[in-house]
Amino acid sequence: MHDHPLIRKLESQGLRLTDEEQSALLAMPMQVESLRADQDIVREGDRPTRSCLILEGYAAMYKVTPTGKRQIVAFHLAGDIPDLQSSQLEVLDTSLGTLTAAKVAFIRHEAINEVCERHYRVARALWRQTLIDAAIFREWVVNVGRREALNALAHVMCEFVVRMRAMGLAEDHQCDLPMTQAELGDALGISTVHVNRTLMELRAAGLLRLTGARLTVLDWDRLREVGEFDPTYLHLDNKQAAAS
Amino acid sequence: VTRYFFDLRDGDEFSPDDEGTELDGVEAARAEMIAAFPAIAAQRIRDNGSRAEFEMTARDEAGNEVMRASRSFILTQV
Repeated sequence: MHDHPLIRKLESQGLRLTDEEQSALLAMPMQVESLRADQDIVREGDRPTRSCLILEGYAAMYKVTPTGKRQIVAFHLAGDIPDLQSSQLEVLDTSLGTLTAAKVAFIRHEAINEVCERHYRVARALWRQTLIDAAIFREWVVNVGRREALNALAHVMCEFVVRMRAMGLAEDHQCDLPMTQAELGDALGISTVHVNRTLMELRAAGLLRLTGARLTVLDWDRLREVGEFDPTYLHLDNKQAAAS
Repeated sequence: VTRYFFDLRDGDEFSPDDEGTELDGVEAARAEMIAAFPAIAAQRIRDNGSRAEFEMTARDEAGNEVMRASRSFILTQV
C-alpha cells in the first residue's frame, strides 16, 4: 500500500498509476489544515476554488431541509476528496463537515485540472472515484427508502468496515466508528432512539460490539446477511478484502 | 443533558432500554418519542403482521417515568 492516502485510495479502486502519474498527483500544491470536530469545511451554495482531500479523520456530506432536519448523504475517510465535484461544477449543492478532528489538504481546482489535462489516466482515476461515490449514493437511497432500520444500519456498518479495510485502517474486523448515534440516525433518516434500539438488537444478536468509538464485528457473515450487503458497488480492487 | 431510557412493550414482550440516550431536556425526549416510537412500531407491524399493541415509556436517570405513549394496529379482514 502506498504511503499517501490519495494514491492508496485511487489504487484501491482498481487503477494502477505509474510512478510519473503518482508524482504528478503528489506535486499538486496542497494546503494542509487541522480542523476540529463538527466543523463545516464547505457549505451548500459556496463557490469553492479548491477541493478538500481528507488525510486523517472523518467527515460527512449532508443537506439540511428548510425545517432544520439534516440528512447525511455520505461518510468520508482518509483518501476521499468528497467535494471533487466542485472542480467541475461551480456551485456546491451540498455541505461537508468534519465528524472528528481531521487533517485535510486543500487542492486548488486549477492544479487538479492541470494534472488531469497532462495525465489522462489520472483524470480517469478521479472520474472513477466520483462514479463510485455515485454508486454509494444509490446504495444509500435503498437504505433510506427501502431497508428496515436493522438492515440499513447493518449495511452502513459493513460499508464502513470495507472502505476502512481498503485504506488499511481496519485490523481484521475492528475499526474506528466515529459517528455518534445521532449522526447514524441522520444518515439513515431515523431518530437517535431508533438507532440506539437497533444497535442493541445487533449487539444482542452477537453481530458486533461497540466500545467507545471502536467497532468490532463479531460475525461478519451474518452482519453482511442482515445488511443485505454486496460490496460489488464499491468496485474495490482487492475483492478479497471486501469479501472476507 | 439528561439520559432517558425508552422501554418498549410489544404485546406481552417487554424490551427495556438498558443503555439510554442523552438528550437535552424533556422537550427533546418528547421529540424523540414522537419520532422514534411510531417508526419502531411501524417496523414491527411490517415484520409481525396483523395485530399489535405497543407502549413506550420514557424514564429519567432516577427511574421516574416521565412520559408514555401507546399505539395499536389491528387489521381485520372482512
